[in-house]
Amino acid sequence: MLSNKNNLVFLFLICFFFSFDTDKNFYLSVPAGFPKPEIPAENKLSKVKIDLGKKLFFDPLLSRDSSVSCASCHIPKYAYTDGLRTAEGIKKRTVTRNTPTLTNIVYNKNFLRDGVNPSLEEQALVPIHEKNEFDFHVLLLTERLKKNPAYLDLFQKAFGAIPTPKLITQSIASFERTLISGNSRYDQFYFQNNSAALSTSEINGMELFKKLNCVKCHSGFNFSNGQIVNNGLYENYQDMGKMRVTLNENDNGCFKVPTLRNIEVTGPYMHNGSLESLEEVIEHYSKGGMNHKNKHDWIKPFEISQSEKEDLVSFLKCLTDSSFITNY
Amino acid sequence: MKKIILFLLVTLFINVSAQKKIVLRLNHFLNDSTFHYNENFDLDGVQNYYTRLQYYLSGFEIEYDGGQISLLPNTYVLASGHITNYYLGDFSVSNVEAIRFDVGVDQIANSGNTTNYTGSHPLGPKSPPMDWGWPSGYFFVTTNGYTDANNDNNPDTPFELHALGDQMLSPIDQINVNPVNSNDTIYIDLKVNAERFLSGLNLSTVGVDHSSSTNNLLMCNNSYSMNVFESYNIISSSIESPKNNNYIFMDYTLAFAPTINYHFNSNQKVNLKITDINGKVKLYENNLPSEGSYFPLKEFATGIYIVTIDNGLEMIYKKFNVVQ
Repeated sequence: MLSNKNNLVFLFLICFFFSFDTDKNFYLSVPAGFPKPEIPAENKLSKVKIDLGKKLFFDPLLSRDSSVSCASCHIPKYAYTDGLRTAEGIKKRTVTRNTPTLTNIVYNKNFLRDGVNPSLEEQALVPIHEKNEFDFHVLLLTERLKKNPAYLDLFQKAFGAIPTPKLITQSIASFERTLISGNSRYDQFYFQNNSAALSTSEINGMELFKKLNCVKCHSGFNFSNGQIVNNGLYENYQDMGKMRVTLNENDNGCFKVPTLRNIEVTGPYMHNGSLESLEEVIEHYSKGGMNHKNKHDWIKPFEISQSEKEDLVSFLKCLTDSSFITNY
Repeated sequence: MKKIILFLLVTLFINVSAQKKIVLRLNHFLNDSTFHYNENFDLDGVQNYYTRLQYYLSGFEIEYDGGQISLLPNTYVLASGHITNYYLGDFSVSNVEAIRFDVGVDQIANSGNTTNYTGSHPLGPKSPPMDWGWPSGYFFVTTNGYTDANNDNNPDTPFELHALGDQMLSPIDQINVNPVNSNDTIYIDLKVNAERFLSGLNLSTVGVDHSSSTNNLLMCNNSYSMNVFESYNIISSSIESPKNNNYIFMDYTLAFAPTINYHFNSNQKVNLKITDINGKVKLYENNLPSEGSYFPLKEFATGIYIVTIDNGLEMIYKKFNVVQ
């Protein structure tokens, strides 16, 4: 009986912490404190579509020589990054940028490091076609899937149709939209009223995070304001960031402010993975970054002691959601 | 008598409102010679050649039957230098007097996704690509080729201009046309002065440029400022189309999956066969258009292959390599 009571209490707590959506066709559990994400009307979620997208995401069949999958660079235990400075595609080809996390990507409005891609569905085409990533073509991939009985069955169940480029991208995007992380110790402390979840050092670090204005860019429940800015990493950028597409000098060196959720496991950091540790990142910002005409006004030098650095790093590490990076 | 009048009226009505296919014929030229990839042409005293010329047309308006205007908002043409015939649709018209269109893709389509269309649709996924995946958006005009940068009459410096961005959309003023009117088809002939896309560009320095740059903007704007498109009377034209210029030209943008560009002079459907070096048939397609860009939806192993295209009367073939 006691055991049953415990179970009931546990269930109650789960329901309290996670406000499950009542729409049975929504398929996402939204953590406490998080807004309900917007799902594109033309690609509503379904269980079979998500399952199909997950299978595609982890399947090296998507690359030309069937050697790498989306999950080769977006590895769950690294919060869907790869631990490398810059990613590797087929035949060990080097990608020019650091793999971005897929944590809470359902909340993003723009995609890729420079935020120039407008939808998650379209983004899925980029690695398929990029020479240094999958080096393939979506029409050939479609033909490959049409010859695979398991996929024919899954596409039939998910869409009542054979594989097409559109359905491939919709499936992958649907799976990626389920990658919601909101059960870190920070979440337990801040959104789930567990005052014991953070240590004194971590709480000090959280206060520093606000005091030093880190929170201005890394704001909100997802620790990102979603803007595309220059953070003063270089005086001269080899990778022009958003300017690569817009050719607007004001976009030179501008990259999307990333979420800091799971930041402990998503290093190396910056668009090119040039900073190995969180300590190096703090060092960069404490110096106010390099001089660049596009550098954001909010990036200014600040004084920080060694113990404060340790507190700040401790706080950043409490943003790790261990369930997110282990259960997939 | 009444019945006869009624019959005549009905017949007249049917004739007036009968649906006709409208086919846009883009007759590509290089300095008044028939367009060919890989063949030198002069531009402002410099030798060049094209290895790729593709562009989108949209926003069509046709003027017909005494000044009536019809808009074709959902009609898109992906034109290539070696392809002449583009079907615009079936319309209840008896004659076409003028046409206007834009070079490029309208803003709504340009913000869409290639996967919303099938591979055969002009806006669907293409190989070589006509879109840029990173920011999405279509290449309005793509020109690849070589230019003679050191005045030795040998074009060996590559250029690759791929224009993207809504601002590249270039409206072409109304062009009065003299269509060829057959029983069920109206052919609208235009002359495309393909070399003029590149007017005013320093091809020796443009390099590889896939963007909204000023060079790409100039290339798109040339389509109206340099009169790339002109009216063309295929019957009375002093420019004579050479005979027997059937050809195959491979595009190796994807070395592991080359695209087969082909052109037959006649309008008869063709058969396409790909065999390996031992003669084993790897792919066979029949009833293809007499000209086109064929992207084999098949994964070939590294090796040498032969593509053979025939229309029952004539046959052409070409060897090509696949590198996996």
